[in-house]
Order: sequence, then C-alpha cells, then structure tokens
Amino acid sequence: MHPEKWYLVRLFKNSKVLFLLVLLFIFFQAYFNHKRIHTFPWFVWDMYSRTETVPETITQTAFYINGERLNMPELSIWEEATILHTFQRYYHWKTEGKADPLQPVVESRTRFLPKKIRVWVAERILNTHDDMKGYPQWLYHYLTRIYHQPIRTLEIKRVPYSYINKQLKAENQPVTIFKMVQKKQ
Amino acid sequence: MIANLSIHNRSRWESLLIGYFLVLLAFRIYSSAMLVFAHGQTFHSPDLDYTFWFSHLLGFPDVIIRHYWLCLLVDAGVAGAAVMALFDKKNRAVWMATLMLFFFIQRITLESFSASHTKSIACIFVALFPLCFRKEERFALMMEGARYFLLFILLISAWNKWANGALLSEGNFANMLINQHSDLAVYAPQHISYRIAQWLTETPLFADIAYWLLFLTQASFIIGVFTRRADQWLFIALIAFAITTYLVMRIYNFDLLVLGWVLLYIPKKK
Repeated sequence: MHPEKWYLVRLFKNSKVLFLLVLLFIFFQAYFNHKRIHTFPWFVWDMYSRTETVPETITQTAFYINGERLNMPELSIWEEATILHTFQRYYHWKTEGKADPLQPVVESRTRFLPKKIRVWVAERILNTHDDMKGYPQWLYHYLTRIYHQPIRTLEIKRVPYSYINKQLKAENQPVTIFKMVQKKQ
Repeated sequence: MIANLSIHNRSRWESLLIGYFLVLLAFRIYSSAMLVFAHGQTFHSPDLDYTFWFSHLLGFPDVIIRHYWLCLLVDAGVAGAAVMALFDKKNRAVWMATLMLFFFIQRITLESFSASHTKSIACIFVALFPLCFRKEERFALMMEGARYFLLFILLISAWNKWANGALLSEGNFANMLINQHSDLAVYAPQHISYRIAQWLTETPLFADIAYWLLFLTQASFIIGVFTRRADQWLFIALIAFAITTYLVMRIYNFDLLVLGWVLLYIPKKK
C-alpha cells in the first residue's frame, strides 16, 4: 500500500493535533502493555491469559445480616464487587499495621520530586486513619439499601474451604472478623 | 445468509450507538453502579492507575463523593447529556463532549471509591470520542483509529493466551473456571454459570476446546487488519464473545460491544 494511504499519514495531513494525540495514545498503550499497569483510558488485557492452578484451600468472606448469610451472587456484579473489594481493603488496613498499601508506591513514584511535593502527593493519594474509620458506617448504610430491611447486626466471617475432588468443602468453623450491632434508636 | 448489518448513514449509526449506551446506563442504574449509591464512602482506592492518581491530585473525586447533590448532579449529567445527544442531532458533537466529561468524572469517582476498576470502560470512551467531531473527515479518521484499537485489544488478548502458555496448558481453563466460580460453588450451585462451568470442569477436554474457541474468536480479528469485508461477522463474533463470557464466566463484557459498533459503520463512497 502506498504510504499516502497509511492511517497515520492521512491523520497527519488532516490534523497535527489529532496526529500527536493518537501518537501519544499508541506510545502509552505500548508502555503500559509492557509494564502491565492498567491506566485509564488504555487497555491492558491479559486476564485469563496465564496458567492457573487450583489452590488446596481458599478463604471466603461471608456477610451475615441479622444472623442470615447474604447470598452474594444474588446481588448485581457491581454491588458484590463493591462490598467485597472495599471490605477487603478495610480489613487489610486494619490487620496490616493500619498503613495504606500504596505507601511504597507513592514513595517510589515521587522519589525524584522535592520534599514539599512528595508530602502533598502522599496526602492526596494515601488514606488517613479518619478516612478508614468512617467505612463501617458507610458499609452499614450501603447494605441497608441493598437488603431492603433494617439491619440489627452485621457480622463478617472468614470461611476456610478445601478442594476435595474439585468440590469445595468447608474446613473449620467460620471466624468472625468484623461485627457491628446497631444501637436501638 | 444474514442481512447486511452495515450502516451507511452516520446519523442513524450514532443514534443506535447512543441508544445502546443508554441501555447499558439503565443496567448500571439497576446494578447500583451510580455515584448516588456510593455517596459518603470514606476511603478511596486509586490503585496503580496514573489517571486515578492525577484525578485525586486534582481532588475532584474526594469532593464529589462527600456531597450527595454533587453525586446526583454528575449522574444526571451523564444521563441528560446522553439523552440530549440522542435527540438534538444538530448539537450532537457538543453533547457528546459533555457526556464524555461527565462520564469520566463519574467513573473515576465511582471506581476509586468502590475499589473496583473496570478495564473495559476505556472501550466506551474510545467509541464515543469520534462523535465529538462534526467534520466528516475527522470523524472518519477517529472511527478508523477506534476500529484499530478494537482489533488491537482483541489480538493482544489472543496473543497473551498463546505467549503465556495458557493455551497449550492442558486443563488450564477448567482450573480457571474452578477459581472463577468459588463463590457460586458455595452460594448458588444451581446458578446457570456454575452448572455450565461444572460440566466443563468435569470434562476437561471440552473445557480446553471452549478455551481454544475463545482464543480463535479473538484471533479471528486479525482479518480486520487486512479487510473491512468481514466486519459484520466480527461484530457477530463479538456479541457471541460477550454473551458466552457472561454465561460461562460471569464476566461483564458488554462495554466492549460499545466499541464493537465501529465495525458496523461503513460510510457511503462519494
């Protein structure tokens, strides 16, 4: 094909700004692909593309509302992800010395910047103790809206399972890792 | 033979794309994937994403999530701009730019405060971007770029399956399904996704065949690099891909279909 018909050549002739924009997009797409970092609006698609093994045991997070186990797959995929992911972040923070897991990344990415800017970036990116402290109340309200009923008790347990003949079997008694009892108004 | 799905009229194609966007938006509302539902969340999770970092440095997600009326305004902005873009054809480019701005603010804020980053949302932005251009030539060039992007992401996904050894690893897809559905195994073994997955895991040969079919579907997009003649078939393949991954793996790939619409637009030759 004649170079005049190439996409980038046609784009360059039409608009230098758009050409530069598309060139930058291609550059960063290649960069993030190489680094395997997902950054919006670039798309690094390598999920379900690696060899996987089945672990011998897994641990699930189970939510008990008023003593009844919440059936997670009954929720929408987004609600399920929101509840599980936010709680996992909160639980990680609570059990891992109350430090934001992004702290080493912030330090690494800002290491060449002046101290003033490093501090400012850390303040904006990292969560504070107060940020995390407010989470249980938010979770309670979020679940109340989904559950359509008043929640008296919210208990979150870790349930260990083993794979026996590719079937999941509960191993031991679940361990309560979070409990919230709503005070009577 | 199926009827020719290609659309030659720009305005009609744009209306259909925006209509599909609105259908997905209705599903997002139903799924609580809107800011008003996440309002008041106290901590954010930008992860390693640079765009999320820049957004938090600017500070807008942190301000919005604290104020209910701002959450409502952004959500309404997304829906309102999409509806206006659908009906006000004369000013469509302006409404599309407005929609992209509101949608960007909404997604960054929501995904950061829900600790759930959706990769495929990028496809929506790439698909909507050409609609911000009034001039036919620029619109066509951006559409062409969006089409290349679609081909690229599907081909790179197929390539990764090959290069990472997942494709030739016997029983690998069965393992993926077991890991994917550990929640369904406990909570809802009667769920259709789990029943299909269980059948596949019990017969690993079929699971391997299914994974090869997935790979071949993605790899078939290589045709699109050389010709546009197969585009409507690629679009059908993309629909099949989105439906089967939802059914078998419970993965939401319908955002990818928004970008898939670029395969159907073929402008009339002057």
